[in-house]
Amino acid sequence: MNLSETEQRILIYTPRIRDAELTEQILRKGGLGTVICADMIDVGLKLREGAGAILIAGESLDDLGVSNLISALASQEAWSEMPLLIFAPSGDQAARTYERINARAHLTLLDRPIHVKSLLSVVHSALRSRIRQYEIRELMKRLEERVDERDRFLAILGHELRNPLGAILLASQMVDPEERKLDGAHAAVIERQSRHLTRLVNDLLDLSRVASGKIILKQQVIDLVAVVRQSMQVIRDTAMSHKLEMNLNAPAEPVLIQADPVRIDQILGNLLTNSIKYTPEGGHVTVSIETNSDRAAIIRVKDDGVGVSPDRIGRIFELFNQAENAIGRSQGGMGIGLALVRNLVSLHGGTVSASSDGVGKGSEFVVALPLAKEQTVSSPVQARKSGATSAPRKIVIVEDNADVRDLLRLKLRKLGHEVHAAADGLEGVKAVIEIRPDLALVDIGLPGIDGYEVAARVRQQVGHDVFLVAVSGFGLPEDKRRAQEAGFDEHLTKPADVNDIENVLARFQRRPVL
Amino acid sequence: MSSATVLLVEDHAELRSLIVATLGRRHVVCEGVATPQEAVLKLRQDDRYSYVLLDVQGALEGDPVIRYLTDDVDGGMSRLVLIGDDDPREEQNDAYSGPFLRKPFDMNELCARLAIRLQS
Repeated sequence: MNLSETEQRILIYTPRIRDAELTEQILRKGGLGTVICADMIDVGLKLREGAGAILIAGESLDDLGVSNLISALASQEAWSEMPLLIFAPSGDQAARTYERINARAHLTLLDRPIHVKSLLSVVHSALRSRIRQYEIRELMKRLEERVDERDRFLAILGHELRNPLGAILLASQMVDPEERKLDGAHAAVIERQSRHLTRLVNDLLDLSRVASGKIILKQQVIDLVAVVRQSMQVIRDTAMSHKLEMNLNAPAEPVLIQADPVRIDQILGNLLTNSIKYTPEGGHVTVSIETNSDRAAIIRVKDDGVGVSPDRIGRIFELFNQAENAIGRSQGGMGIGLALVRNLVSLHGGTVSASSDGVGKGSEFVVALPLAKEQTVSSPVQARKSGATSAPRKIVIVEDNADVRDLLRLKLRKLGHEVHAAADGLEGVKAVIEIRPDLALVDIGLPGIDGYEVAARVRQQVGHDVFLVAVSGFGLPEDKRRAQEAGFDEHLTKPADVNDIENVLARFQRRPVL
Repeated sequence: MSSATVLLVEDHAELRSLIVATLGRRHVVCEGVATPQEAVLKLRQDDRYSYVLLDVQGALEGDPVIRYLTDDVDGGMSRLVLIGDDDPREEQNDAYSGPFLRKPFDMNELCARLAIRLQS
């Protein structure tokens, strides 16, 4: 670490100036920086300014000298224990004095006469321990900054949660008193804000996993154009509800990159969501794809929205950064999406940049990803459907939360499925064995026996005749692996909505039951 | 409470609409604006509000609505009900001692607070 001369200097005080000068000569020849102090008051003053160690003659420690020294030592910060070297006269009186000083300093008593080699050795050693204290000081500073950051994050998170929760609470109270039903508009508010909260939680968890190196990319050769087209399709409804026009300019031929398609979709989703959020009604969001001479695929997401001021553009990808304007604040946002984009792009070996001509002049985000060396697509991009409907199925739901269970049952029945429900693991096993559904949705966190045990018992009794789907609040790779080992065919992370379940049903192949 | 009118200052669009709608169902006329600046404009044009429901952002002293109400010698501050994340009464000592609703709040609680304010 870089330390200043002041932080490394050795303060010297002896009553006789000649002794101090001789000592200084020896230490300087040994490569040490030194300062001769005029008296003990001067030692105290210079100690407060900063020093690496103090070397004094014991005879300077009269009552006033000791008092000044202890007072100066007492003013040190918590990380500091100043190395203090004293040429020590002996005697009981001195021993008591050293005890007083020792409580506030890293004290070493030196005999006289002392060899030059020994003196240099002990002073260098004292300085090394001082440098270690400086390192601790830096660690403590970083720790305090992290704590401040955490506190700031929690405050922002609290704020970001309160408005959507407030909207959900108020909308849920708008039940028509006569019909005892919630109208479509208020139901839509609850759905919209719930999805917003879900996105927030998912982004937070992903960011945490990226930061701790837990995200593993499942890379394959994919057609970037197909993935981008799909991402835009999913978000098109959102753009339309904001009365925005969204367009894609892409080459006719595939643009092949080596990437994790789920994460590329996440990158696009976040960039598009960001543009939609910060573009007023009637605006435009344009995505274009091209390749350049550096063998990179370039994705540009451009909007004619609120833009970014020059002093903020450099920090746009930092956590917590969001546009300080009515649109950004009113729609909420912690600046997690763009921080996540930067991390995910970086994991893919790419770069992302942002530019804007200023406030009110729109912005453009440019992602550059290396082109694939291979020129064959590994596997076709799985169509991600939003709300795909499937043939009617016989379904068992095993879920202990009554609200979740009842709402899911109601919704799946409205879609034409035959739905049975169980509230705990034992009931769930019994229901699946007796009813033999096409598919069972099993919550992992059940009272009695958990979801893994349910799957194991079902497999023992009915083999693989039933398609088992684990529903869990944990979505890490190890959670999915554990579900698979227990006998589940698929894993959904909560909150699993009807669209997620419909997508599972669409992938599920069985003879029609109804 | 049916003759009361409320000026709501809340920047979250959806929440603002919901509060206006919910108070409307309880026969309370409520007008919503997104910023304190818009609120002060309305107050200056035609101050007919029984209450001002203000989503407090940051320090109370800097808020234009609070400045306006403080300057109103006819007891402007007595019409104020604050909503937000952090209770300003916990930190800002004598700056404000009126009602505060922490988000998310229940509509019944809001109406109860407004009723209390009317009586005070």
